[in-house]
Amino acid sequence: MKMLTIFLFVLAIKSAQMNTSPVPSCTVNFNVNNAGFDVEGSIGVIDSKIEFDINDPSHGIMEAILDPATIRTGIDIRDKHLKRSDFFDIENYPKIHVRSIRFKKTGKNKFDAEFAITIKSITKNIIVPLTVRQESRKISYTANFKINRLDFKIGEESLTLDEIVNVDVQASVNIH
Amino acid sequence: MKKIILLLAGTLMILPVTSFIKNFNGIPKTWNLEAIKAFHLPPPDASVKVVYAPEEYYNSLPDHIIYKTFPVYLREFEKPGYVDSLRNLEPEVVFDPTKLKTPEDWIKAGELVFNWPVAYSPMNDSVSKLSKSLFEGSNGRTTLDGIYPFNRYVLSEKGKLMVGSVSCASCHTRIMDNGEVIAGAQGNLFNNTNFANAIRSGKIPFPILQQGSHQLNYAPWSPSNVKTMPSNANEFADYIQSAPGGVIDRQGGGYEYPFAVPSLIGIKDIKYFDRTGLMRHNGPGDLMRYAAFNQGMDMLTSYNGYIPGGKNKNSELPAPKEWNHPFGYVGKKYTDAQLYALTQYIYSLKPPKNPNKFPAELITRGRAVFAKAGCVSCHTPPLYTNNKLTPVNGFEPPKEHFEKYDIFNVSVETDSVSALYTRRGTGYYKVPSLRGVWYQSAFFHNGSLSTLEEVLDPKRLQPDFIPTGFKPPHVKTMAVKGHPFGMELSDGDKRALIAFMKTL
Repeated sequence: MKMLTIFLFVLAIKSAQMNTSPVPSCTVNFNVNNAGFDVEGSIGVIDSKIEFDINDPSHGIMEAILDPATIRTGIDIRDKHLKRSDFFDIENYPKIHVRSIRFKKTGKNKFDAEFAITIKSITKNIIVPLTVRQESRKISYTANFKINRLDFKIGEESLTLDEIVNVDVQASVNIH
Repeated sequence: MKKIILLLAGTLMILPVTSFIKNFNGIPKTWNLEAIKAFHLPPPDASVKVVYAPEEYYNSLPDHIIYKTFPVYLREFEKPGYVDSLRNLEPEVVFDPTKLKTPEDWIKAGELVFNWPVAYSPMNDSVSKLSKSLFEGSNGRTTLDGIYPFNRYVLSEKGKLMVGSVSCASCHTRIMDNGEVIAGAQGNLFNNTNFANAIRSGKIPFPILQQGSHQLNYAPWSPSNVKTMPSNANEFADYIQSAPGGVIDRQGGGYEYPFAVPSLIGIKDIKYFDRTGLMRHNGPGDLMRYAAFNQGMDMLTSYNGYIPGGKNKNSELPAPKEWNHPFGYVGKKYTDAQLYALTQYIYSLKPPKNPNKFPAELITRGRAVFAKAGCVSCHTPPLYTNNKLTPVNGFEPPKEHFEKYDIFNVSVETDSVSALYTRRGTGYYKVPSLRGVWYQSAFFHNGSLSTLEEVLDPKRLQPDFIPTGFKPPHVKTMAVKGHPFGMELSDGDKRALIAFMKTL
């Protein structure tokens, strides 16, 4: 009985540091400049996993699967276009995969996270500045980074549409 | 010194000749079958076998000889004796390529081709057949001095005057409310009252109308519920008269699916011809081919063995004298030089002076709305088109099309019949340029909308909408679906957006 109490105590401490949740709350928003104005949008996350100990980032794991069919930009026909072969090609590539490779602490609550992002079977490793904040009942993760859409064959060169897409990821894990 | 002067004089004499040879040799060959195949997009049904008239056939057609032509006036504006005076003139050949030395010469000569009618009917009267009353309550227009540019008098034989029609100018001349005549713009002057009256009165036998309509509209891959001909004469007359200015019924279109006439001004920069992007445009050779096809030859293309203008049940090419085009085109061809001159004239066309004056703040706001609302993605400056084709509902671009054509791969969900079930159909609509929308009155490919306000009005998506542009005559209300952009904008933003577009 004593052993069981100790085990549960250790587990409780561990949970506060290494957050594991099968489906953390996660949103992915983006904006891209089109003819001088930002087009804002979002893509839904269908699955995600975070196992991250701020004191031991080297063993951290973050993964997410995004569904490009859920893309929203405020204009219905534009959303339909983004799903077609010249953009996300959701028929052939129905999922976007994001998988962490390594984390490096850069400051208090701050990390450089290297992610492998796979869109349309093209994988690119991107260093993402990550901020982790522990609040009373949850841990929040914030990442802002840029990708070049042409690296993933998302559309083509355009007179108006910028190649650089700003991505904003917000995730949180409740602590029980 | 004497030698130098002689050499100089010799050079000066030679220069015009060499300059002519250079120009003349630089003229593309119109009926180049390889180029013709390359510049056409295939029908949406890829299994359809398309065969163009062979080169020997094209070359066997007699050439158009372009004579001096004369304006046709309304009776009330015609000087007494005008028509008879024309009969007494000597016919004068005005297009002579050997006299064309400078680019300006070619442009001027091209204007003659632009205005040269290719269908003729005898003019035996002494006064004009047209009068003011014909234009009352009609969509047709005349100039302030009573000229009807759809027709020209043609004198190719002394004493034998003809009324000519269906020149390029017939459909591509616009007469503005203030009387200004804009060559090359979306035409709005065709008066179809006489034709409709002839149909109603039975002067034109109904079976002939049906046959002609079928020839014009039948596409072998079209389903049987897509009509190619009218059920009765009145229905046809009503249809003819239901086309407002800027909208025409064309060969290779669909019955009750006319097309909005494109403006030719600025076409040099446009990559595809026709609302359906039927033909690619990579230079004068392609524009020459487009003109040759549309002024007669497209009725002689075989689609799965069906030749719209063919003889023996549309199975064989007709001899020139056997041409049976419903619009009356004669069995002749333009010379390459004529067509080249035509392209130089069309390329030279400039937009008219824009009379619209809007406050600068309104234009600035409109420009911002244009970008923010996403208009800019398809109607990209400076051409205000991205020069691409959008697939229609019911058509999925084959993989190889992405290599060959410029595709903006999403349907804007407008009516797809013209793109799918007509001989001009490709499965696509072209993204039109918004340059010059201020002097257009037919919007969307069938010209169902006549104002930009209507384009942005969400009511048009509802079945109880009454379009001010083309609608089939038996239809009282109809939804004009698709291209649902900008509809949710505030009234102020819409006003600003429209003002901005009217400056283009």
